[in-house]
Amino acid sequence: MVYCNNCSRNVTGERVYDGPLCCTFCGKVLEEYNFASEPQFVKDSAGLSKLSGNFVKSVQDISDSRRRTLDKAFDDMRCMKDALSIDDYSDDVVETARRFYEIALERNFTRGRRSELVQAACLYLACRQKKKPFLLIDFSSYLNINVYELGSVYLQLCYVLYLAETRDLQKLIDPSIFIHKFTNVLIPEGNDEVVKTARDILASMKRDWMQTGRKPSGLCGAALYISALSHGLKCSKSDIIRIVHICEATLTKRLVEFENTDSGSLTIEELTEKEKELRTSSLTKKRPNTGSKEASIHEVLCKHMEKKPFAYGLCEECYEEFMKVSGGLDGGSDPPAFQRAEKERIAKLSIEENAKSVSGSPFASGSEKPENIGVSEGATNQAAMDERDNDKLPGVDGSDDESDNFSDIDDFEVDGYLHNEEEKHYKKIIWEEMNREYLEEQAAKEAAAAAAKEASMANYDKCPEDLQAAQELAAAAAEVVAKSRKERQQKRAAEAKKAGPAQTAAEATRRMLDRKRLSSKINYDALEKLFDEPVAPEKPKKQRNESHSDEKEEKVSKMGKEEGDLVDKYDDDNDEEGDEGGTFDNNLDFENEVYDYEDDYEYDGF
Amino acid sequence: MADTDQVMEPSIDNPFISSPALHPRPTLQNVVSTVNFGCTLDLKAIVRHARNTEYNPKRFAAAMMRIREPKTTALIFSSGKIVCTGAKTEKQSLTAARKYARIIQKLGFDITFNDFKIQNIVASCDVGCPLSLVRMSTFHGEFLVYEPELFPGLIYRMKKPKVAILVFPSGKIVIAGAQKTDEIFEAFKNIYPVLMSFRKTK
Repeated sequence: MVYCNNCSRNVTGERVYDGPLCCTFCGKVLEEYNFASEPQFVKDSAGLSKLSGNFVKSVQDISDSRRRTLDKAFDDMRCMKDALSIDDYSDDVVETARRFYEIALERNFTRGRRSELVQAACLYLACRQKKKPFLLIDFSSYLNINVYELGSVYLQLCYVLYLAETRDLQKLIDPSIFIHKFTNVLIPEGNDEVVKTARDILASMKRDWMQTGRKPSGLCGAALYISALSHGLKCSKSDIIRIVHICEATLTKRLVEFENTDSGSLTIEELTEKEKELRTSSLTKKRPNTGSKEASIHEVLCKHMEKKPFAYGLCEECYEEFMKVSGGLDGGSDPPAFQRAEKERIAKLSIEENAKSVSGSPFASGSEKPENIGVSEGATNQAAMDERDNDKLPGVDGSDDESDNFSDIDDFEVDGYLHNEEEKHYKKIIWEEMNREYLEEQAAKEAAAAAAKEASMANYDKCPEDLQAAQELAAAAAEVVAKSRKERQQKRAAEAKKAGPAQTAAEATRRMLDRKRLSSKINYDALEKLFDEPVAPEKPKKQRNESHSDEKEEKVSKMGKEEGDLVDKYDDDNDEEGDEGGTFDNNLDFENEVYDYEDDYEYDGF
Repeated sequence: MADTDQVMEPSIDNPFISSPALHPRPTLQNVVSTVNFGCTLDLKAIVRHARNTEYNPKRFAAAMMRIREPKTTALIFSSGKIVCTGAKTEKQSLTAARKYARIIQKLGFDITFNDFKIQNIVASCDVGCPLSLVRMSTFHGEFLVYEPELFPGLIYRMKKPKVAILVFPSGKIVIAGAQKTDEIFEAFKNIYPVLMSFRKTK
């Protein structure tokens, strides 16, 4: 925002073609800088041309390989979408899926899982969000993988994306969305009536609690079947099965269940009427009768945090949706699963009552379990055992005393579990026969291992010298490779310490040169000659941080850098420097240059 | 003290289990435990000398031994570790493990009974009235998974005690993953009012 004098206000200036900045309202030129976007070059201190500017981390901040992964995933998901004909007009679903995939990538969800599984799970999740009628089975049949495997990946994905905790309340699939899709496959044209009836049937199924715990496809199949037949269309069970991905037994079961409900006995017209009534009556939006417990719920459990709870702890919108999906919670017949369970319960109860009346009082008072009547022996045994266990209850610690002799366990019984001699013999034969292949494999493996070992031993005996030489070489190579710098240094330090102080000056300098690795540049003859001369003059004061270094070392090192002839010249230099500090700087640089061979200047050990 | 294998309190004057006034108790179905015998075992020798053992090395690397009382199965590994399954109570599991130890000992191995630990207890129960899984999933979305396409029951993962509860629309539930019997009962106590509030109203 720049201030324009003419308009006397702040304006967002406009810059046309990288030229001057102009005011958006009056056009007055506010800034005259011209920007060029081509790369510019400048000369640096050494005279080389360099690109001007800095490297800045890109705003997008994704590496190349990640971008490639995302693009590939996007393409795969698009292929999947086309193959299943999810949405022909827009890439909306795939866009959503792609965003899920990005998050999954960041959370390392794709590691250790096949990428196609993760892609399918993301796409399925996107379909669920957008209420597209696609089942997990469709995806798994496209990818040829077990639907439960895909299902587990999908559940883990939901967990990773924190869908549970953000109260997004993964909406349950409404089976009605599938009706349209399936009907289109079955009857390509003129299927409105069938769709409507099927919807009604489904709604009544929902109310009768046939829906809980069932795959939505099964219910849809049954509803569609009934509706098609009732409109006179010839469709067989196998057609439905093919479309809906359920098996015939399931379809029959659903039909039977529907028959058992109240609506099953109505005719189609009656059913339609009833549904219409219910639909219109629900428009009055009556609040359902909930128990007192729920009156205390003040906040909503759905994601619309700012709305007030309407019913069941949900805001009005979510409540409506919930009713549509599940068919409500009141009324209707019991779920078929419960009906079956109830029958079993009643049957069991009647058996117990009969048994009770037959057996009389002694059993009822002694043993506490009427079920054990059939297994009375077992009951008494168990009661005795429990008592024994009760005495030794203190837990594992208490029984550790007897753990090693197990004296409380019935030996007779244990012996009963073991074979006698004859049985052992036969069992051995039988087992070896049964597992012959395995034993053969094992034998072959062992033989191979033994042979290999023998071969290596034989080789060893044949040529010991060669082997030893080879070993030495290997050892040397290993030594070189394995050594790190630190190890070498430590070794050197140890050796130096071991060797003790140098005996002569010459030795000392030689050692120092070894350490400084200047050995290739040293003229050793000159070195010897040097120490034959009288003691060299005082060395100049040192700037470096060394506690003890020989003046001769210094000289020799300088000598080491250049030819040996320069020694004399240098001595003169040094003499002069003792008085002046003028030329000292040059010297100093030279010193530093020399000693730049190594990074650390430690004189350990000297 | 109280026998935990019961379905309901012993009493003659309430024959209707499905009456909601009565608080049902979960029945333990399976207890899984592990124990370490502390020495390597030769499975081939074991299968040869014991009547009730099977060992198929190509299929699985452990021998399976069964005893009649308590009716359990044990997986015996050559490392000396045992997994004992099928017992109905914790005590029974301990007895069974010790019986297996005695058998192996008699076969000539020098074993010690180390680190007996109950790994998993499974119990089932019947609350007696139909439950709305749909409604439950709308409420407690954080803890539960309900995917009718994948599994007909609802899986509720309780944090404390750390157990998983499978809820079915018939009103039957399965509690699994507990390490002690008390945890089972505690979990049931926690979940019972929740389930009751989601039952189908007539």
